Amino acid sequence: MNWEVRTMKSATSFFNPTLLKKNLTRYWPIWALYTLIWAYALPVRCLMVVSRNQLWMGDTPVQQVKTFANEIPNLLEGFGTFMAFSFGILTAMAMFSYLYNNRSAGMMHTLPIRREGLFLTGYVSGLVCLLGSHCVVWLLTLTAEGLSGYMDLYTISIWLAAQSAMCLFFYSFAVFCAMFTGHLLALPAFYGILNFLAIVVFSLVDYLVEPFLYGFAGLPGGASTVVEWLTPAMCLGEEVRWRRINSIYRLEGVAELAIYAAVGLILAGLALLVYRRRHVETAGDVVSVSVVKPIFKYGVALCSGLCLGFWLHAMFGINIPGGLTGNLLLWTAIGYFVAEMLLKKSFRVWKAWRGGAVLLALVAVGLFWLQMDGFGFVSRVPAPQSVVSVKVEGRGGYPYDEGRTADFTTEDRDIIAKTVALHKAIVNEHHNPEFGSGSDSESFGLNVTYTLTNGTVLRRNYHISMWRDTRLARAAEDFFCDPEVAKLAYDLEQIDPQRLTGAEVSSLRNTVSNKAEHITLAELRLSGTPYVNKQDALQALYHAVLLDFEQGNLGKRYLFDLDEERQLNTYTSDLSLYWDVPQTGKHTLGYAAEAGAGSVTISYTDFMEITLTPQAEHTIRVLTELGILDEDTTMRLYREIVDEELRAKFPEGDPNSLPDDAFVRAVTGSIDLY
Amino acid sequence: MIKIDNVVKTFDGFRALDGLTMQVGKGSIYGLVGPNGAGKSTILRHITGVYRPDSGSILVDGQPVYENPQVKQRIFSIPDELYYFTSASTRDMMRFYRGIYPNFDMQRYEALRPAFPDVNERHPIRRLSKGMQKQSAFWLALCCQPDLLVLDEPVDGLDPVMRRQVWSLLMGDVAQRGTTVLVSSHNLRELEDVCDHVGILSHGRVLLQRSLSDLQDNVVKMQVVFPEAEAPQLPADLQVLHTARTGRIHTLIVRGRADEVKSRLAAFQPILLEALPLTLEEIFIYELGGEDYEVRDIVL
Repeated sequence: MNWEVRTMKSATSFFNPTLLKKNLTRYWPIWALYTLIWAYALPVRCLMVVSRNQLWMGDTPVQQVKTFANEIPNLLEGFGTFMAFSFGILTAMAMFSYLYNNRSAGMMHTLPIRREGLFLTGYVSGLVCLLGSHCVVWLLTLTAEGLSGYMDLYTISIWLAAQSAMCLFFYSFAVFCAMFTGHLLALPAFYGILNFLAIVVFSLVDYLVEPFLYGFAGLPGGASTVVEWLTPAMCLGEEVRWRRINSIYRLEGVAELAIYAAVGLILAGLALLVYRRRHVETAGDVVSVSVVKPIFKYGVALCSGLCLGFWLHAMFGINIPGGLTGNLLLWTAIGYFVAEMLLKKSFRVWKAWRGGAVLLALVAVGLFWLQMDGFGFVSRVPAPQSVVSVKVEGRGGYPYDEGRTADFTTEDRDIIAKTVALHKAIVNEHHNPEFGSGSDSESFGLNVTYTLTNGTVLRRNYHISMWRDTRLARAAEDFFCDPEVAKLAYDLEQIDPQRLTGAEVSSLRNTVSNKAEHITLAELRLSGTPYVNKQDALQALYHAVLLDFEQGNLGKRYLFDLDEERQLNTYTSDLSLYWDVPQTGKHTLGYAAEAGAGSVTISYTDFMEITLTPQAEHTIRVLTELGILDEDTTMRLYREIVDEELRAKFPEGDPNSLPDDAFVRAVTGSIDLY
Repeated sequence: MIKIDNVVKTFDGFRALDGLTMQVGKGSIYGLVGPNGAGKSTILRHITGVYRPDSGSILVDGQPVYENPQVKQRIFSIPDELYYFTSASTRDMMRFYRGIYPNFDMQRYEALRPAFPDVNERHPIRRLSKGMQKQSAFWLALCCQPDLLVLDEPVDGLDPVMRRQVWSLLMGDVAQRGTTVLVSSHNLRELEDVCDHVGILSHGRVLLQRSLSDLQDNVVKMQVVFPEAEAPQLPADLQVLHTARTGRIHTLIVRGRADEVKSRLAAFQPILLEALPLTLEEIFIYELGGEDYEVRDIVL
């Protein structure tokens, strides 16, 4: 054979069928197991549905198979993601296992195949394993359906496409990870860590910064979207859904699937670039690409500090001063040296102490900077005139009803000023704590988001305790007990009276049986009342509530639960109103689906609780007309319950000679005031 | 056939190859010798295209080896540590190599079977003994009909009969097909029998490379008995690599041709003067003595 013939360009340079065949025959247990699991989940189950004559799926075998076929893409939710996630890494580990052993790496790289050829052949071999299994299962399922008398090409094809897209992404991601390590066991570790790194770091930063930055409201909402995208298992697990709307099944999350599949191809391309630069002699190294080594070392150190430092502090060091900082620094240092040991494959890594010292110094400075509020984060309170609008999520004040949880956005200057004043009082309280006398304290929560005139957004979140007669308590009272704030908190306008569906009054006292009762409107007979039907009664009740609110008879807020005024002016009974909320869109919690002309409308039921008061004359009148309230069924003042508790707790005591905190002890120690 | 020019390779700061330069002629059997850690296996992995040099060039028939399938398909390597696919038999590996190496000769595979009678070709290779695994490797290597065969400690594990059998097959290939064989081994006596060229490596560089006959002609072992009991002062330009004395017999290892050295020593009118050829092992030991790698007399 002459030289020219022997040096003809080989057709096997970029793809080698012999190697593909070898990969498929060597690693048959992987694709066989994968195929087997899906075979049990689809064609075998299809045959079992019919053979067992599962009547809940339909009266006839055809109907049963139809029901089965309609539910096939349900497997994509969770199970499909798990399978793609697990077998993606297993397949990548198998196809590129030769990179992790000096002998195999040497042998494979002496072969007359370019690295592109080795990579592409390995990559395609893995895809053939996974996607080939899908095709086999697709064919078997259609056959099983056909044997049962019904074939649904659409649903099984949806499954085929979506599952293949998920596998394409996870397998490519695993291959990408495979290029950065020379150790077989490090590969699944890297893959798992990188899959969930974003969500873990995001959560830890959220938790970690809070103790250092008083009022920290978490990372911006946009960050969580990014984090979700950077956590593919979570994103696909949550977004890919098979929904039935208007009797039509649709796959949600198609865009996410397409994007991840495209990202998978990009990662495969990047993996090839890394492979071309990779040194074969790195087989056995934890990190095989030199530029990644410092990233690995410092990344492990910081993640170790964040994860283990924070976790161990939470477990053991809560009451130690500087415990969190100490734990963070300690575990950052440990993480640094562990990473160095992994990189050097030796326990003697103490010579690298300089890098560790610099890292610790930087972390310490960073933590100190945070603690000292170096950015002025804690003290920053916007001037009222610089605020365009404010979004408030507050929890405070009494009684315990809808008004206790404020959730509104407003541009009202007066409310903005009160919010800013409360914010300022909270910050002052943090810097100069003020303790009141007696044992009367309360707590409230305030999550506030300002949109400022310069377009920026300022978010703060507080959970704070306060004492009576302090500056903070006065500012909180100005805010939570403000009628305008209360009006926004109750937000009666959210109720569409035409969509009211029910009403209920709780904690009524039956004076005959001396038992508590809950009465719903549905239980009532409307004959003998001024109302012709339930809707008529609901309308009347709603308008009565509205009128009482307008006249200030309902909705008055009190800052302290034990305010005498609160005890004497609120009943223990709540009126609950229920109404339907129509909603369209992707993520609905639909309880009922309505067929619309060309559109889909899903509704859910919402409700509102309003604590009744002796002054709510219009509401009480309607309730009396409806027969909910009568001589035998009455409401009780909050004070009556408190007195009962006092008497139960101090049976022989003279109410006038009880200790100062008896009232508080009675109430806070009571089992159930209602 | 092989031209290596100033190749440098560093592993985590350790310079394994330090400007290594060497040439291997076509159709020769080139023995690569050197102390442990000299860089023999490293340069072999460069020649087979496994490692990428930090600098320098490695050409086979004028073409770079790294990432060059056209060149690599003419090279077959038997490393010191063999690798086979898990559970693969010799027959499985034959099928694999047949699909990879275009020159693979199936008839040769059949013809060579009697040469390796103890190798069960359907038995998983990993279950074979070390020697049989080596036999299997040679069987497959010879079937690939490479133009360059790179061997790292090739006959380690083979019994004497099989060693001779393997070398006989290899030399037959060299004679018939002009195969070039590059072999690294510590078994210098064996290399002496088969190599026509030798390169000595030390500290990542080639200390010297020559044909074996040139090498042996250039260093001579002289046994001399001088008239006086003590040896006279020898000329400064006589390159004496090593001296030893047993009774009145002085043994001198001298660089130079035997006849030249003999005539210069004759001037001292010795009672006995005899020139003896050096073995490769002796040349290796005395040449490396200058590299601070001599046999040391350790008293325990």
